[in-house]
Amino acid sequence: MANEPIKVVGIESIEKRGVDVQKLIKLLTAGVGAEFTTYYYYTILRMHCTGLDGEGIKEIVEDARIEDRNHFEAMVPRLYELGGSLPRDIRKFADQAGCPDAFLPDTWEDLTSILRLLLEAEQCAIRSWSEVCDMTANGKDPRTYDIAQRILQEEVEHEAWFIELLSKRPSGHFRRKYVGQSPHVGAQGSLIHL
Amino acid sequence: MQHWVCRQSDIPDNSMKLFNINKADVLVGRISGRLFACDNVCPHRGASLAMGELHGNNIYCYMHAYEYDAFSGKLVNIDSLKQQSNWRRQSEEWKRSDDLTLYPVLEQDGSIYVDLP
Ligand code: FES
Ligand SMILES: [Fe+2]
Ligand SMILES: [Fe+2]
Repeated sequence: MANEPIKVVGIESIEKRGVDVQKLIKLLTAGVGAEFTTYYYYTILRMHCTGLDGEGIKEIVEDARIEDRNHFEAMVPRLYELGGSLPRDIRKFADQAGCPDAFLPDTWEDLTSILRLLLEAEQCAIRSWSEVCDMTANGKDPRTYDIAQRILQEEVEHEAWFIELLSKRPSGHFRRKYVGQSPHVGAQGSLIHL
Repeated sequence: MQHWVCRQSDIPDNSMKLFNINKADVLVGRISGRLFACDNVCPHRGASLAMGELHGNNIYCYMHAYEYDAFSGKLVNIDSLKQQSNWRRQSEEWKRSDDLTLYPVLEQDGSIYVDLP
């Protein structure tokens, strides 16, 4: 009796609405993998924002870094609810990440090379969370959709910030209330621990 | 099992379209008059190939710019990303991708059909 499988209505209900849960689990594991590796690599990138101009962008890189960590925090519980899990081995986790590693460029002393890398990482994140939104939209899986769209909103902001720094195209950026505030992921939904 | 997809004229030359057939997302396209059909899921990290583009005989995935031959299903090009020095350091395991899952496709009496397992 004890081993009888328990029906998970939270999964059944999204399957009935057309979500391929195994496919979704794969995308989510890749998505949180990219957030986690990005958080790690952004730490190195931020350390290398040095000198007079470096000081000017340190804080914005830090906001993006902490918010990417928050994205990991926000989506991982959902992964487990759906029956997925984080790989036991962190090497496997990194190798299945949805975005390539944001390695410190050889030319890091030229700040634009760091900014370009940050921009690429954000653009990859936009694409991958958009995939999750597509798969869960229109009432198919409101819970995953809600978390993914909040993450996506912050990724779009991050992209705009880095484009502004590279090209002067205005992004509407003003400093966060505190570092890594995550206005979309962290606010109403309280998806992360602050 | 064979499934009706659409009318011949629904897929003009050098275009592709996404169909949901029997709960499967199937990408059907035509390149230089020749039809192809494949699973819409990119074998690298699962992006929707319908969001990509056709580059010659290849389907180009918008996620990490891999290209798969639409007729053999083989991964043929990851060069677009290779230009950056960072890409060279990327782990081989991360870069690894299976080939595309292709489906037999045929045109008959003005209609297009695919054979799904
Ligand atoms: S997901 Fe298609 S190239 Fe990576
Ligand atoms: Fe993120
Ligand atoms: Fe981000």
